[in-house]
Amino acid sequence: MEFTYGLLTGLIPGLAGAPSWVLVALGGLIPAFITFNFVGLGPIIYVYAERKISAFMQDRLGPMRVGPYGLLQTIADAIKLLFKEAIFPAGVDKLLFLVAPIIVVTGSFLPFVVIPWGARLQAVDLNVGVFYVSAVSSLATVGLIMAGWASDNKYALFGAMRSAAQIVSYEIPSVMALLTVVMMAGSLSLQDIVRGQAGGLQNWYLFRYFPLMPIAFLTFFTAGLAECNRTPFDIPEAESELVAGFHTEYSGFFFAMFFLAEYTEMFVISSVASVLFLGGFHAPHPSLQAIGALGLGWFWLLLKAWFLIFVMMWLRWTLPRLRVDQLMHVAWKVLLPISFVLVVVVGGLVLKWPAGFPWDRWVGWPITLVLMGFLIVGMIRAISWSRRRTEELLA
Amino acid sequence: MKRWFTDLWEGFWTVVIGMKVTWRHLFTRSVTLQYPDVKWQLPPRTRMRLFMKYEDCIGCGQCVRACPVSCIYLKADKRPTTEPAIFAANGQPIKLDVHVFDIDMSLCCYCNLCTYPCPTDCIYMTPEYEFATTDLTHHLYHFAKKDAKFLTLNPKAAAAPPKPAPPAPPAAPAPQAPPSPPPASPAGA
Repeated sequence: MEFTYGLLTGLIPGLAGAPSWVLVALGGLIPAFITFNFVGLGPIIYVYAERKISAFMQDRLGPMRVGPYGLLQTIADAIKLLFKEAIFPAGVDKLLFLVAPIIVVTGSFLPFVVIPWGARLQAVDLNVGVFYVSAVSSLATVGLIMAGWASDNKYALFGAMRSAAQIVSYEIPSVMALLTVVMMAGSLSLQDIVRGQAGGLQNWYLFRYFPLMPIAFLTFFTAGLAECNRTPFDIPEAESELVAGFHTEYSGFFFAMFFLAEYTEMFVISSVASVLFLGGFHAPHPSLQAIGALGLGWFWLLLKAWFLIFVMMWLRWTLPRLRVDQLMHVAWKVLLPISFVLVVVVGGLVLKWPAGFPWDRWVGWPITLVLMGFLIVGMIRAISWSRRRTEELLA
Repeated sequence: MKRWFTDLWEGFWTVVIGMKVTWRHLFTRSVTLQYPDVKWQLPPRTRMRLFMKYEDCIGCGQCVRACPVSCIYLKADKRPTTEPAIFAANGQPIKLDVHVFDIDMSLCCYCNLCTYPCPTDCIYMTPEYEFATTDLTHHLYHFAKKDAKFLTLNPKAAAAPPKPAPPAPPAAPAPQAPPSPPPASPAGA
């Protein structure tokens, strides 16, 4: 916020003598405006990416008709959704029905207040940042239950109840996995947590206490997937069981709001995971941090978050949906014990060896290189196989 | 307790294997044909829209009887003997005037049963498949033509005489007799 003040008074000298409430209002409104637009328009990209990635993974082409390579498809869909009639079916509780999507969207947008895009590029550096994120991101559950209850539809109510059960269950392992990071950083402020990971890839919390923190990351990521109702855990809106889950009765703009909230939550989980585990706005190597005059912090955070979103989509088109009992099994019998053990063990290790294991200084690099190597080799082999196969078929 | 760990590892590892499969498919070429721009070359025996060559039809009505959904409508009268003789492409004389030969493609079930009994092979299915219309009645195809140009000479008779001529001593029945042998050969073919 101080950064915004400095920028404002630097750009418009007349503002320096303005009363403080003007400065506070401007300093709050301008970042809010930028963040809101950036986050609100993001789903257009994510929906397009999702459709394209799903198509490519199924050997299809995906949207190709609207604009070059179907680039304008989601814009057309968004316009269509905005202009559609919002239907209020008979029997709905109108007030709750209206308020529910607003709450869901608000809950998914609020975490962006504290996400640090750079050392100073952050709306507010709350000293309880991690706590704030996990608190407001579960606000969406209230909206989902409201939507399900107000719809007066058994499918919607089923979906809402399932989502409540799911989010309550998965909140615990995700918060416990966050606690390990908080113990290592010694602070709840996201800015402090990112500062603790400066200096390259080997310092990221993902690679601390080597076999332990990757497990914490996987726990957090899995629980995060469940919290934003992504596919292996999408039973609240299971198309083949419940018609569309909690948003069965919604149409037009209100449906679009649920859609927006879902994709925004994906981005929230991804960016929080990259802030906490993948070094936030720090580049993999300090020499990559500032190319040119601009500090490219936002670029690196965006890259990491988008990579994690890609992994979410990748998982979605790989895994089938879990059953309800399997979902509860994963939450309470697998992730919960793992995260509790991690909290205890990592807590002890932080007390005993605050600097981490001796191999933590270098172990991140070989792992990253091996993973990237696997991906690139798989890509090259797939491309060459496809080319050979095409030639065989044409011959 | 050991079971818990093996299950956990198995769960993780199977997810990795599945992700490997989808990662491979992410980079393989897509199999989509962009339909209106790129069309699939259909094989010549594809069973799509029915076609009837009116000039070859002898009006026997065997296709009408074969059709399981009764989508062929045929109306034929006896051809006056005063009119000049006309022939199908395989040499069969056309003895009936076909006034109506309609096929309702919206009823057709593409079974191809009508084409087998046809003695002159004048009804067959084509690979043409783009005949969607906004009006269902447009699917009623009228094949009977007013200005059809029938063959007035027997096409098989021109080729047939050289063969039967040497062995046959009487030259008198030659013009009328040849029509009778050709039906035997297409019926068997």
